[in-house]
Amino acid sequence: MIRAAWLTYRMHRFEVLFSVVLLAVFAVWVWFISSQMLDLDIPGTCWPRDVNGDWAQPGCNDLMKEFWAISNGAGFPRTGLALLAPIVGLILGVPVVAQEIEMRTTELAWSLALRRSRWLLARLLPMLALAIVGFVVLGWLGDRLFNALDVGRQSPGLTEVASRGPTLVARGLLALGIGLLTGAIVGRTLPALVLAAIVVLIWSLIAVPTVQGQMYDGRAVWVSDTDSGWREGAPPIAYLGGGYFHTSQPGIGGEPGVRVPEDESLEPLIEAACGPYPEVYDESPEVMAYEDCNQQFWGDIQWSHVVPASTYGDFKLVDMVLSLTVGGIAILLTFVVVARRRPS
Amino acid sequence: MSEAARSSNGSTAASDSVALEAIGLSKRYRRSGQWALLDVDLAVPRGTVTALVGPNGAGKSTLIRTWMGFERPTRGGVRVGGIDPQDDRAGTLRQLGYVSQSTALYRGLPVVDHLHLAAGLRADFDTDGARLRLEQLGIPLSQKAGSLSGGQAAQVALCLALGTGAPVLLLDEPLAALDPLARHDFLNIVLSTVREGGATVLLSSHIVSDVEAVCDQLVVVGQGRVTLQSPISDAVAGHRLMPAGSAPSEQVVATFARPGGAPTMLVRSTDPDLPIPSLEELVMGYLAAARPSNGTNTSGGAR
Repeated sequence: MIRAAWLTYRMHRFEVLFSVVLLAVFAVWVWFISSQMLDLDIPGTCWPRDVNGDWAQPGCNDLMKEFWAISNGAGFPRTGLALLAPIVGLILGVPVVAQEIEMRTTELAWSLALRRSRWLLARLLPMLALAIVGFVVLGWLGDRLFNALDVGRQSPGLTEVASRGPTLVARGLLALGIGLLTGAIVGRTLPALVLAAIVVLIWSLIAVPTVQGQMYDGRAVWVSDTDSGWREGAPPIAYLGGGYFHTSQPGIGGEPGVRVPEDESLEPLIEAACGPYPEVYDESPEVMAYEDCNQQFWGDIQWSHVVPASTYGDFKLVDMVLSLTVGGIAILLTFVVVARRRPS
Repeated sequence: MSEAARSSNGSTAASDSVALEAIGLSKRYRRSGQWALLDVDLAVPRGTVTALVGPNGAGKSTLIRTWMGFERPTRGGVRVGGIDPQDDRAGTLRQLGYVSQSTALYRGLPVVDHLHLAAGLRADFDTDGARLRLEQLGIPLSQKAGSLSGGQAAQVALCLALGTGAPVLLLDEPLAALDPLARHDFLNIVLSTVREGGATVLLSSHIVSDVEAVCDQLVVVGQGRVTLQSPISDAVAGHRLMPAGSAPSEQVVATFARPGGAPTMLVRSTDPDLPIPSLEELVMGYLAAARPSNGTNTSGGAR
């Protein structure tokens, strides 16, 4: 088994080396940036800002400025984390079958292999093992980076679902599976790589956001922007503004992180601003005053459609399960294709 | 169950003596729409060395690849030792050693790694035997396959096929790109294998002079059809050459032009006064007969 794995790596030495170097360089970079931020060890008390947007606690300004300078430089690694796993998945997955068909070595291998599934396993498992190890390391580093970026705030965002943790691993394996299958069908490495990349891109840009959108609709609530961002005493409602959740401690709607129905989330805000609806006749001054207040309330406050941060795990789980399912099906289908297709 | 497999139920005895069979085999490629093989009936006896001769594109490779299970028949079927490759691929491959036309090896891997790969794919692969054979041939085991000469690559491919210990060897034009010395070495290995183990060999080639030395059976394929199947000695003895237009039409196989000579007829005859054709002339006659423009009826051939 070890010899078979070693031979597979030697057959695909370019793809393996390229992927390992790419992953290693990126891993070091992400580790370095996240370490810089974590080393600042910013106290939780430094995070709240005052009404002018400055950091409220004395002595926090320099620390926070340094933090933001580093975090601004983390933009590319953040994007890179989302892209790297699928890219490496494609690089490792596509040539496994396609390259051998292209080089016609399948004629030799399939004439020797009593079961083609055994041949495919011998080629696939070493690449899969390498990919899993690489993706797990990358996923862990993604978590580290985003935890460093969000330290003290716990503000995970939907856009970073694929850039961290098990979801990153699943997205990478999805790309590997699709690459493997496309390579087996097309039988030419470069066209298969392009085709598989398009499929993965469609999956990432259309399929996943569509599923996320449906989940989002079932979970979202309206909250005022005033109360949704990080403010001391802001409500425990997750906030999706520009794609980011924000969770804060005390506030409306019950326990922090609990999903809050729209009515329940709005009612306390309005009641806090305008008091309870007056139980008097419609044209009474109390009612008029309440309506005025209500009108002013709606007019002054920007409303955001947000989902609670507690549901972030749902998004991660669904993304992961979908990616692994589709990737797994693609890998299984490759066995069927390989069993039935011509060697060249 | 395929047609070939169904018909195999009542022919166990026949399959004992026949290594390779094609029964009404037709193969049409979907992309080109061309028939590569058309109603091919063929039986290769066990223990023989059979030359499969025909021009490029005649269907030789398609026929061999169908036995390997690489191609699915459009009609009819094939059997290897009585087994249909479409029904039992593993059972078929156990009986077959194969050298492909391209003798494609893993260019980036040393020769010795090819032995390890083969052993990984086939538990009964004779690694020591293959290693010994390669050493006897003077092929450096540590040399990368990509830097081997064409002859050496073909020899490595043949050693891999022999390492399977399969009783039937399918050699798909392995000589095409080799120089005369390499062809000679290759054929010597084939011959010694047959002598040692009594293997059945099907050697596809369009170089008649090469197969003449090692083969005892002849199958001529042209335009996707088998036009002649016979022991070589019988085939040669049963034909004569005549000047064009001088023989009754029912005896004529075909008229063809000899190099630098007048049009000549190949006829079915044992007339001692007529010249006996060489194997090359015999093959040329049958290939000419397979051409669509040649009006001569060859149905029945020399089987």
